[in-house]
Amino acid sequence: MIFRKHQPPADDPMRDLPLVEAPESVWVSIEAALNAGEPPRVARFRWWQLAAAFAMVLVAAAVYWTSTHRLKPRWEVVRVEGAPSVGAQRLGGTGFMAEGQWLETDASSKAMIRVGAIGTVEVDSNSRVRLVAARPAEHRLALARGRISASVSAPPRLFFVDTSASTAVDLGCAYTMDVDDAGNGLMHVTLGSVSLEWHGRESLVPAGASCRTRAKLGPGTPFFDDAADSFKQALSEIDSGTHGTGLETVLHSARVRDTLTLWHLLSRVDATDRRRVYDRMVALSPLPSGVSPDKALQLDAPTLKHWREDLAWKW
Amino acid sequence: MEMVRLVVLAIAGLSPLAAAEFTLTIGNPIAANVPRMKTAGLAVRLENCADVSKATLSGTGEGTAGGARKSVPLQVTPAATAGVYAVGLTGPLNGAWIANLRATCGKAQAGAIVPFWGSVYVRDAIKLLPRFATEAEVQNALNESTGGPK
Repeated sequence: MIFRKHQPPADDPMRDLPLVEAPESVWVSIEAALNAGEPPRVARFRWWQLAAAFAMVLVAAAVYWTSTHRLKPRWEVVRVEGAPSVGAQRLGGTGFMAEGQWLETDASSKAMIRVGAIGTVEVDSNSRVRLVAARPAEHRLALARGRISASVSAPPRLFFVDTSASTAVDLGCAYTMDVDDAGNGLMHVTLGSVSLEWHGRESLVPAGASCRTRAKLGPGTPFFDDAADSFKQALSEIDSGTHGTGLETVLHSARVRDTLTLWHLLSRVDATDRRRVYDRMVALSPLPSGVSPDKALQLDAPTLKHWREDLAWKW
Repeated sequence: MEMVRLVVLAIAGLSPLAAAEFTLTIGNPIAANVPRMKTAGLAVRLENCADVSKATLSGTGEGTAGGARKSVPLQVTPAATAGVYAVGLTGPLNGAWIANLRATCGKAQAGAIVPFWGSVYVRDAIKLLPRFATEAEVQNALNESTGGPK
């Protein structure tokens, strides 16, 4: 076979070159390659690649959406009676309240809040409650008005209820709390204990005891519910700052278990009255070993704590 | 012979072990300081037990649920302090009920009947016993607390 396809022009020096026939072996190898017939490469459509790309787009969209539209923490709310409202919406059966939202009941409605996974709060009629924080380490409500009954099963200091006069710190318990329109309240503990705290003041309220709270004054002095009425009335006078015969009455009518009240009074009265409270406490229940009278009167914190732990056996 | 007997009795009377009888102290649940036991209704401390590691405490809640008389085992959880326990109900009982506590320290026995209203015990009505309470004592205490027949 001779290659003659291209004839150079007349003035081209290439024209003078002799024509040479290609060796036969070259043509044989070319024809063999052509006969082997390797098909040309064509781009294939692979479904798994498309699916993977689609999944990646979905993931990216989900990440973007959650970062820009993060849901506010919220708790479930169940209508118990009437038509309570969450925010501006009436609650028909079950709904949610998000952080910052108010739950409100009127004279004929009641509701129940599920406090995450740690308990429940029943909201009585004529009450106003706000969800302050719904986080794993802080479950916090604010009670502006009305009455709630809380039942919490969680480690201490996870559930809080703020009022204008105190913060109720759950120490593992069940309790009710009332707050009137003026911000004054009453807490009653039925299981475990609650610490009422406000501006450095702290009242420990164990099961079977109650404690008043007063707007601008904070938590009062806890007392057992089976204490004499005269004892409770006198204590109320002391808590409200009325200077009268309140302390005299409290000391005179105190029983052994009323050392709960006296223990709290010890650090809330002046030095002169402190001695009287101390003397009455010791008369009701001998000072345990390891408690120094002087340190107790000086309100040494570890001494008072040790004394309180011993007294709790008589409460 | 009478003289010997008097001397023995006098020595026994002077012995602190003989004077200190095995008994129970009942306190508010916060006294046991067992925060993990949320349903504790009371704290119990064994008194005058020489070897609390071999002591036992158990009990039942006696009352009514759904209108029927029920006996429910009590949950007894040891506290960090030896001989101290938090005690609570394992099942619901309505209104007034009785915790019937039974403790042993070696061969010595002690018991207590603790009336409750709901989850709060009635301090003034606690009965401490130098033995386990009898069925009749438990029933009487339950009747007293519920206002039923004696």
